[in-house]
Amino acid sequence: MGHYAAVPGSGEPLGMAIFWVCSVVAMMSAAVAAFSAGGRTVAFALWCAGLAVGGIFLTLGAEALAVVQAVISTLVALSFLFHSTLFGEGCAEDGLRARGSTGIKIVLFSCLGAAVSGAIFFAASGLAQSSAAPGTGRIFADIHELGTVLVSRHMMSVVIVGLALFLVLIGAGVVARPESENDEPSEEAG
Amino acid sequence: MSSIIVPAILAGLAVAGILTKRTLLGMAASIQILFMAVALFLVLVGALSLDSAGTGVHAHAGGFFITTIGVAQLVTLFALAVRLFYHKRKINLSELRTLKH
Repeated sequence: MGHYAAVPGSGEPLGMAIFWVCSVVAMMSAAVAAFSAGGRTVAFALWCAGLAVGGIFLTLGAEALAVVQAVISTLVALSFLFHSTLFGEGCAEDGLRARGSTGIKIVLFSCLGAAVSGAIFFAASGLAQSSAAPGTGRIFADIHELGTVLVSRHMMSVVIVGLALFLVLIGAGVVARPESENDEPSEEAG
Repeated sequence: MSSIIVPAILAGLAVAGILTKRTLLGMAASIQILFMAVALFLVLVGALSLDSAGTGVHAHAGGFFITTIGVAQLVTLFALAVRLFYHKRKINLSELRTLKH
């Protein structure tokens, strides 16, 4: 049994308003996370962006993905906050941004990012064609149908992703192992 | 179709952030935003392309895979950052030119 999603352009004003509010929050949070210098600010902005994207998923009818996104963004923000504090980069004066990077560089990189955005937007403009009648809701997949499709049509992808996650788990444990006597930090000149 | 601008702007901000950040953690945050943008793009295209073939549910599944792989790469970057910090006591990418000399 499907359910209705407030797809932008479908004519549901409340759903569209929530979609655009969440979109604005996500974009502003992403801008703060991309250009902020302090680790704590970046972690908080990343968390807000993730929750806003989860809200967008809710308006599109992808409830399961919205829950996953909210949980993942919270865990990512917490781990990012922990690691940035561990490495001494939690404060703005420590700086995650390139020290000495002038305003010109930031403007240049921002223009490059805007070019990427424009390229994606114009390239994808003909990709999706809305087929909903204006003013009506849309039928989107529910969790039952999503699970059925994952198992029946994308089983190999699920297995590969699981294997990749297992390898990442083992690899991360090996790479981040505690120091041994062979791992003395090298002396840096200056 | 104007809703496609949202993942496009997120991707552009992520690219600008990757170029601007100097540490591994900063780049990890921007890459995470990029993964969010890609997952959002997939779900949005699926939602806007609903037809009898069920494009939406396949795009939804693609969003799951993208999100999962994003978490995996973040774990990898954190492990690398910890390892680099053990060796160099810093994770500033501009100062980690160990193979230069």
